[in-house]
Amino acid sequence: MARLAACIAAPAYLLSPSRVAMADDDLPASFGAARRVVVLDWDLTEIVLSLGLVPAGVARPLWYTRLNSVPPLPAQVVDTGLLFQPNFEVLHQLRPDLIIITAWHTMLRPQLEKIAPTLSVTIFQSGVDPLPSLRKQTLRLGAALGRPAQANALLARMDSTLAACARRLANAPDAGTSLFFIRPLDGRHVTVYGTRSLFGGVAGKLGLRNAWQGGTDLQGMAETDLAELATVPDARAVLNGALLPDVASDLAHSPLWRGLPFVAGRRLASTPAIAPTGGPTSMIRFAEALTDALTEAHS
Amino acid sequence: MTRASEQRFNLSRPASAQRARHVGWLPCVLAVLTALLALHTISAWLPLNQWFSSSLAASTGNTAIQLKRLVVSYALLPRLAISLIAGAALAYAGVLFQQVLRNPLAEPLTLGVAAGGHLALTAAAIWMPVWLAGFRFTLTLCGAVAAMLVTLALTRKKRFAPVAVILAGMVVNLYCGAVGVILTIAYERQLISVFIWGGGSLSQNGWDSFAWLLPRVVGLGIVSILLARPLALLSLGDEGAKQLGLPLSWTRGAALGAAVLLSAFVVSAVGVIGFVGLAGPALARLVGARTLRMQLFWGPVTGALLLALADQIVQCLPGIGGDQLPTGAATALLGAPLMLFLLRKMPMGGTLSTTDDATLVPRRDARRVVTALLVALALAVYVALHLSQSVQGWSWDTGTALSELVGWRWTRMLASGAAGVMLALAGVLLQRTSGNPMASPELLGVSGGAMLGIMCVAFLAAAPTAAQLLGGSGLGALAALALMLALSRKRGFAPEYLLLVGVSISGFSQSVIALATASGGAYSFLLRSVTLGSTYLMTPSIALTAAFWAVAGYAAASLCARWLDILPLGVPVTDALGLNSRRARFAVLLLSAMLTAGATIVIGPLSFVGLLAPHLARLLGFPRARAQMLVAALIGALFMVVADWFGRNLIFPQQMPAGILAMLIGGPYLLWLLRR
Repeated sequence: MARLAACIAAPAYLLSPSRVAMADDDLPASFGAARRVVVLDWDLTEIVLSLGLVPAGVARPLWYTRLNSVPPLPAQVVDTGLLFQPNFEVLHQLRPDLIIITAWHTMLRPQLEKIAPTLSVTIFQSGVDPLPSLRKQTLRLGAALGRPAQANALLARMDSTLAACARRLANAPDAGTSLFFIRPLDGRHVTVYGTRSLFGGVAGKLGLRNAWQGGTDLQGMAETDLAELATVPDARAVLNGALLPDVASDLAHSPLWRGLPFVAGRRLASTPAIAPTGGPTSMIRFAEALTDALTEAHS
Repeated sequence: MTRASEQRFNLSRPASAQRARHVGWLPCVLAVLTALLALHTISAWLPLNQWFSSSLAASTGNTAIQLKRLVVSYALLPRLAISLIAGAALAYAGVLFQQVLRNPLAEPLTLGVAAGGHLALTAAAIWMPVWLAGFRFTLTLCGAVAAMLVTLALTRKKRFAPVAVILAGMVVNLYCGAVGVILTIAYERQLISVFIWGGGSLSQNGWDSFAWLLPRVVGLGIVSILLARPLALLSLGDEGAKQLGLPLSWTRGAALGAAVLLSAFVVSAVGVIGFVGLAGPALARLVGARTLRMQLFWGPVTGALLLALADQIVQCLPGIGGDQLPTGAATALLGAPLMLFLLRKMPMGGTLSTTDDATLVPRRDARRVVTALLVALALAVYVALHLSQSVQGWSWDTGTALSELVGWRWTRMLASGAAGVMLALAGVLLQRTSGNPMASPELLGVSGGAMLGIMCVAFLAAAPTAAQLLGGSGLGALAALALMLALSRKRGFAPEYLLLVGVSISGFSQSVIALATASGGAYSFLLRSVTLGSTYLMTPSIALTAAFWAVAGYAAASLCARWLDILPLGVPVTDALGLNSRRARFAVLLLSAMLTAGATIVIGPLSFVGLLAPHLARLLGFPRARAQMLVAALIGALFMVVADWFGRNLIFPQQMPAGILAMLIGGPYLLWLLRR
């Protein structure tokens, strides 16, 4: 019985009394000189690179190259292992002076703190609009890395691009019709980017209306089937990235897909594949590609 | 065991004749419910009064109504049709499996068939995505057949006894799951469509899938009707059937082949759909379908309506975070309670004798083997602490380099080794009390409970800390333990029953995790990685606690050694020797469950150590409990230390959970061991 009691008590003892808050941590002044930085998130890697700093290590660089890709990641950046299970020995050997993580790495934080000061930067938080949140977190990163001027310049570039694209689109025909922003996953399911996604936020700044009215997750996206896309008769659609060959052939055989208003009415545009959770650079690319696609489609 | 379940299938025919006319009531109720819900779903899209005027609307060019017509005729109706045909096919496969294996719990999911098909498709999606378009079915079938053969090979020695088949099927299930996990850890961002498919989504984009599935299922159904007569004779037992001149192996092979084909058709058309193959036949039998012929008809009918009803309910439910619930995982959730209910009725033999093969092995001097194992363990620890890959390549670290890195290495190693000891001991305890060589701590449900606990914590705390995850895992394990003990109290803690309850809980937790991670959403990546074991989260204090638990557990298990020598002799002998078998079993099971919980918290829910180490100890010549425990514990520790080292270095810098690596290394050896 004593063993049983101990067994029950031990896990309870391990539970820390305070529930983790998603609140931003304060920035110690010592980060100002951070030169050797390890980033355990691909979207944050994009922001760090955009601020002109090359990280010493990044989790699984392969996925940065596939998902974000701009700005390019130099080959000398060290692979620190899986996203949520970094290799502590590699981190130790890199001797970073700052480790940048997201709130989802909280469980690793005590161990990471043993290696270097750790900064948690989370763009997607419940109840926070992602585009303003992206601006705020970019500025935080700029301050932490001693590059506030570069952060301001990056955001100013994003603002001017969005404003220029909005002007171009204002003159385009059908500017008022609503749009689905989608990425087909297979012949039967698509990811939809809602108004509370970064893509949705950018589209809103461009004066476009999002056709998706359903629920979305923390990142403003939803996974749904083709029938749900038939709800808006006059909608247009923009694909994120070209279709994979097997998905394309599957969709081409589907009477439902061919009957969807934006496919039947040839109101389907596409952008290159852009990270839907990326940083300001991705959003600039998205705004430009979207504007090009929509103006070309009608020119 | 086998005899007992034969009786069940042979239930008296006169009774069935009396009740035959009532069999149809359940399908009727299900059909009415399904029809009502389907009408509700369809009329939500297209109000009833527009159904027949829709052709008129098309000519007037009203696009909104045309669009709704399109959705009804190319999404909703094919979805209803495919749910019916898939449910029927799965239930048909279930009836065939259950008849051939004489096992009321056999179905595509519990036999590992679905998991094999899923793994083959996952691997193809990574390395040969082009194949998915053209060879989807061939791939699934190869995986499904391979899994079925492995399950059967594992149980040949036990003559396909029902419980042994289910346990082996779950082992195959877990193994395929572990390999899949390795793949998904490394490649998950390109596998979102595979995850959707693993959750069993019935969404349709036209009639193509239905048109593909229908002729195949109907064709196989007609072929198997020819088998109905010889199959029914199988219930007489092998001897009786042989005397009637029945070619046994041919009949069995044909029926199994048909069942595996049916499962593979469904898996490749719509994905993994759990427990319909179990529920359809079970419910049909429950309402009075006694003969095989009746089961072959009413089972599929019930299964079809069950899946259709479940799918209609799923369509009426709001999704989570904009994502729709996958139907397959949802039916699997209902499956666990059903399985527990069926178990309540399942006849269960006493403990089986386990010592038959051990007596053939010459006994050895324990001291020499223990010394050799201790030396090997010390050597492994020494090498694992020094030799490792680093950014610059392989290195043998000494001096200051070692003193900096050793802090990361010893905690993981100590925790893994302690977990190995705990699992090995739990394995010895379970195998000796149940007399079942496939009994392993992974099947005890405690691991499944721990996984569920971790999931809950990950959902409740937006950003879980290490302490919360470990606490959640511990509480989940304890909850599962309490549930299992409460359910098996009436049975006097019969170990076989307990293991089957555990299998149900494991299956339940697997489907909850499939449900939670089916979408490629924000959380699923984190969830998948935290539920797989957390060797990387070990801090010195946790590692030392684990080591302490292992030592204390070993001491407690040694106290039970005499019971463990007596319990395999069966209840009458045990009681005659003055040992209260009920109380002894309770103590042993409680101890093994607590050891499993401790190990699961450290290395995660999956590993074969608890299955392998006791076997190896017996093969080395230690059939007596005390010696077997000591040797198994040392083997367990050695195995996990080695597995942890491989986990750190195999695909450097990526790190694998030690438990999963142990599973990968141990799996093939286990197959070889049990084949003999």
